[in-house]
Order: sequence, then C-alpha cells, then structure tokens
Amino acid sequence: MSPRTVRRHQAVYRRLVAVTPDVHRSRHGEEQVQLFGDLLNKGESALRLWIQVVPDLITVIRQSAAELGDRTARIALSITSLGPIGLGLVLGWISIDEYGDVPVLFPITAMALITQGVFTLVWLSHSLDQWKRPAKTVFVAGEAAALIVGSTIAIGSGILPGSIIAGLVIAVQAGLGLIVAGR
Amino acid sequence: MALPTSHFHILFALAEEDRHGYSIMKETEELTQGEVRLGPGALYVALAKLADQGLIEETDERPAPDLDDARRRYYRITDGGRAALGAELQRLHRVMERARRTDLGWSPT
Repeated sequence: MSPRTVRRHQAVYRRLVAVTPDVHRSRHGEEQVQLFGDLLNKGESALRLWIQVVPDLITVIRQSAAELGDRTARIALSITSLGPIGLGLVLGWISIDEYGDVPVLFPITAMALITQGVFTLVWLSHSLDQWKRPAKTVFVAGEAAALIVGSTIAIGSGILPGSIIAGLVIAVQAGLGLIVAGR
Repeated sequence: MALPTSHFHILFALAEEDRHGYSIMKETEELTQGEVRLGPGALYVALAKLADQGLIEETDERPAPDLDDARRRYYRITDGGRAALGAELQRLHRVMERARRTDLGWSPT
C-alpha cells in the first residue's frame, strides 16, 4: 500500500478515534492512529483491519466510560470522606470542651467517624493494596455500618441540633463508598 | 483473581523484552497462533489500565536510532507485573495439572 493511501486510511481512523472519550484519546489516541498506520505499512489487509475497527472502538468507549465513572465516583468519595472526619472532629471537640456533660456516645462516635473517614482516604490511595481482600472487607463493613448509623441519625434526629444534616453527610459518604467498592 | 486475557498476553510479551504497541500486538498473535488478536484500541486501553495498576511502565530506553521510530512509545514490565504474571502462570499450571488428572475427554498435546 502506498504511503499516501496509508495516510488517507489513518486520517479516517483518526476521525473515528476522535469520538472516543477524552480520557483515552488524550493518552493514547495518536499512538493508536500510528499503530493503525504501522499495521497497514507492514502489509496488513485494510479490509480485515476496518472490519476489526468497529468492535474495537466500542470496546474503547465502553471501557473508558466505565473508567471515567469509576474515577468520578472515587473523587466524589474522597471529597465526601472529609464530611465524617469534620463531624468527628466537631464531636470530639464538644466531648473535650464539655467533658462530663456529654454522653459517652459522643467521643466514641467521634472516634468512629474520624477512623472511618481516614480509612476511606487511605483505602482510596491504594496504600492497602497488599492486603486487598481484608482491606476491602473492612472498608465495606465500615461503610455499611456508617450507612445504617447515618440513616438512623438522619431519620431519628433529636440527638444533636442539625443531626439530620450530619446523618445525611454520613449516609451519602457511606453510600458512595459502597458504590465504589462494588464497581 | 485471574488476569484478563489481553493483560496476560501483554505482560507475557513484555516479560521477554521492552516493546512498543505494534511489537506487543504481533508477539501476542504469534504466541497464540493468531487466536488472540488485540485491536489498536483494546491494546491501548489495556496498556493504560496495566500502567495505572503499576504492572507496566513507559520506558525512555530505546533501541539504536537506525532501528527506532521516534514516535513510538516503549513499555516495560515492572516487578509487580512480573509477580502478577507469575501468579497467573501458576494458576494456569494448576488448572492444567488438574486437567491432566481428570477425564475430560481431551488430552493435552
């Protein structure tokens, strides 16, 4: 195949690659077009290659979309994990400031919230990957417990002023955590 | 957990030497006698995923200029990648051993 014909095929292929998600295209799009050209230059049948292109691009779009969804969910979880940590610090501060006047549940809840938020951030950073399965089990158990506690606080309220918001913050973060863990 | 087929073949190809995309694709075809054929898109999706998982990395080391195409990117397997490949080969070995001992109406050649 002449270099000019290869360039024409590549130009059409480049247009198709342009419809793939940016997360993929910006990283490997041009490399992919070059490989397509290499295959033609090395004598690959153009017809065979074009037949392969459609399912191949569908694979790219499907996997890139899943990856993008996963990345977005992880970012959202990182941000919402600051919620339980913040709530935990506030509860901890109240527990210290009004030592003796608050139920023992306050400092315990504060510790639990901070632990859960920090553990989530550590888990998301892949620092626990060497203990993948037990770490995920602990993570899912923690998020499930937080979802129950958060929902109970939000629905039950009356424990603290603004407890509906606090409960929702905990429940949303925990719900997101379970979604990410399930992906 | 079992490695996806494309990931397994990419790691296998890179375990032998550093390669660029075209070389990985051709090596995989040769190894599987044409049964596994990675499309350009699927290949780079898999390469990106393996790089994100720390199993491969892009390398700056390149062949001699007369054998090189400056536009190509070369990839190399990491220690983690070799460990993952080893674990997968062990898993396949166990399956083969079991298959040899079991009457499946098929015998490995």
